[in-house]
Amino acid sequence: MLTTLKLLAAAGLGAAYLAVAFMAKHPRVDAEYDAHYLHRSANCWVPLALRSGDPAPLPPVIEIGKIGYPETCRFLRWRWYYLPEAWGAWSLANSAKLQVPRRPGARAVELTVRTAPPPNPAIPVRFVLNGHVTEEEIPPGTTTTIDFPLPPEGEAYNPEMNLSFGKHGIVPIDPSRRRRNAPKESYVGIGLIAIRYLPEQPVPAATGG
Amino acid sequence: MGSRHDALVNPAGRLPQAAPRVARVRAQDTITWLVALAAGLTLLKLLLYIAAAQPFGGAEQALCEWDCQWYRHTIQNGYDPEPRLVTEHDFTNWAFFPLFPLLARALKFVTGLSAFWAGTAVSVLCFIGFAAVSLRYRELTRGPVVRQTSWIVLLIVFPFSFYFLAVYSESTYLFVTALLLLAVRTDRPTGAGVATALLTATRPTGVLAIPYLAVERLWHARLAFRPGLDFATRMRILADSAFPLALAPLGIALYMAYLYWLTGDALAFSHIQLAWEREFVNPLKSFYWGVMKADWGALLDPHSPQSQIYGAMFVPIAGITCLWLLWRRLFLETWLLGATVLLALTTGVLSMPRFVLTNPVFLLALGDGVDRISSRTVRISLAAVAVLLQAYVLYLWFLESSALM
Repeated sequence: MLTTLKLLAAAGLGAAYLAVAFMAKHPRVDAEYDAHYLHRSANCWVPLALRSGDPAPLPPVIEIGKIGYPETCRFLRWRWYYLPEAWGAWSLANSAKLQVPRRPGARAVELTVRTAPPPNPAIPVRFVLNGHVTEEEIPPGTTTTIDFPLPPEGEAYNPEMNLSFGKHGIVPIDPSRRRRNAPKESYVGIGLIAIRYLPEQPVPAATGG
Repeated sequence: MGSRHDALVNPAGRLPQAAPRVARVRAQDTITWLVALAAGLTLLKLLLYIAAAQPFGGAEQALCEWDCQWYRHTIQNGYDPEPRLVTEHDFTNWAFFPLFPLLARALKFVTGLSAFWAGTAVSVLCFIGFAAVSLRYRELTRGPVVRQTSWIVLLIVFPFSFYFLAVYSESTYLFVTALLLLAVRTDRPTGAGVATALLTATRPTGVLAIPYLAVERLWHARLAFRPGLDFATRMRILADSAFPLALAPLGIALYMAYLYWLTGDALAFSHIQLAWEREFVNPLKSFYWGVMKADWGALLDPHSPQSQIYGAMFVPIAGITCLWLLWRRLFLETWLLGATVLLALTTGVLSMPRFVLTNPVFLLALGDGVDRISSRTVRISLAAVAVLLQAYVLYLWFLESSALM
């Protein structure tokens, strides 16, 4: 009798483990969780409360320093300092991802960015948005704007912008914002100050030819 | 359960069966006295900790550092349904396995204690439980000549033993591991299965006990295929092999099913490691990078990141300990320590000192070392030095030293 019970219990537990293995193989998660933990295309969590319901319409200018966490996570998706400073937020070194959602009526988007002050080096940055590639070398201590065209509404659009940095700067971390066991300074790529939506496509610079 | 050979090697393994009843009763009295001593000294130590914490903001503030805050949060509120931002990182408590917080939450519910004191009470009880079980286990594996009083004193004065009274899962892990070791040694396969299930609910590294149990039970199962046995006997042997093995992953499986219900991801406990910047790396590279960092200076600044070389230093210490245990043919102990360190090393050397120093197998090996010191004066002197070191380490803990995270 006991032998039978043991064998039945072992079989039952085995079946239950198969069910758990199936659950592990097939997570049932939303897009935010998927991006954050499974595909790792985001590491700033947009809380459920912010995602539920209709999203607020995007303003024509998003000043990163004026929106706090967790709103910043809608834009700063991967490798940023998510608690912005008064002027904006630094990205981490090497690479970062930015989410540039489409805004009705907008045909272009302009990023206002800055670099770490001298004696840091000039930062070569490569921006890729919806297949459009822009490369810039931004001198240290500079604030500049970079424009990107947006496709007309109805056309396919990937809002994920990939940024990669050939070099990086170093900035001190405000002691009041440092987590414990963290370094006193940080390697950064660029700082993002604002995202501005424009009604017209940027005019290409004259080539002189 | 693998003990037959060990018992022949170590005559002490036969003692419980061979010793006369009077000797067994005397041994039991001795163990009871030693457990009472352990309980008394542990409570005294806790009172001293509480008194020492007063200038640092009181016990609840000064004694609750690093992961204690996660455990306290979990005991108080259960598991978070989604991450929350804590100092630039989206953390949640899914990485903290449920047995310890569940026990503390149950105690909190029954007694009305705060989350911190309920957690402390569970740690204290598990530590005393470990002392009791380890006395019996040492008697079986180390023989009747072991210095059991010295062992209890070692557990109390060990410089890093403050973890065992903290709101951490260290004591629960100690106790459950000791139950597993004892069940294996005394040939109780179902007990070993239950202990492994509890271990897998205590820490992710608890799953490392499963392969050992699997090999041992499969080896046992081969007996079912010997010629000349009747069907009922074959079935009994197979049931005795399959049932403990089926019990072993129960703890982690239940936790995974719970996480699936809570988050939709049964592996959320693993995926959240990203928030602590723990990612899989070659363990050899982890060790090499830690050594090459040569950041001894970080040890002097409590607020610096944890010294990498200090963490890496504990890898060879664990390796030497494993060799010692292997030489003594204590295979399960060797496996539990070696595999735990290797698994931890796959995510770097962060917290390696704690993983090694609070590992029950490391403590048992340390006890072996103390057993070999024949001079009472030397043992007392070492205990005095250990008490001073413990006071210093506790002071560093109050300062939130990263070396102790």
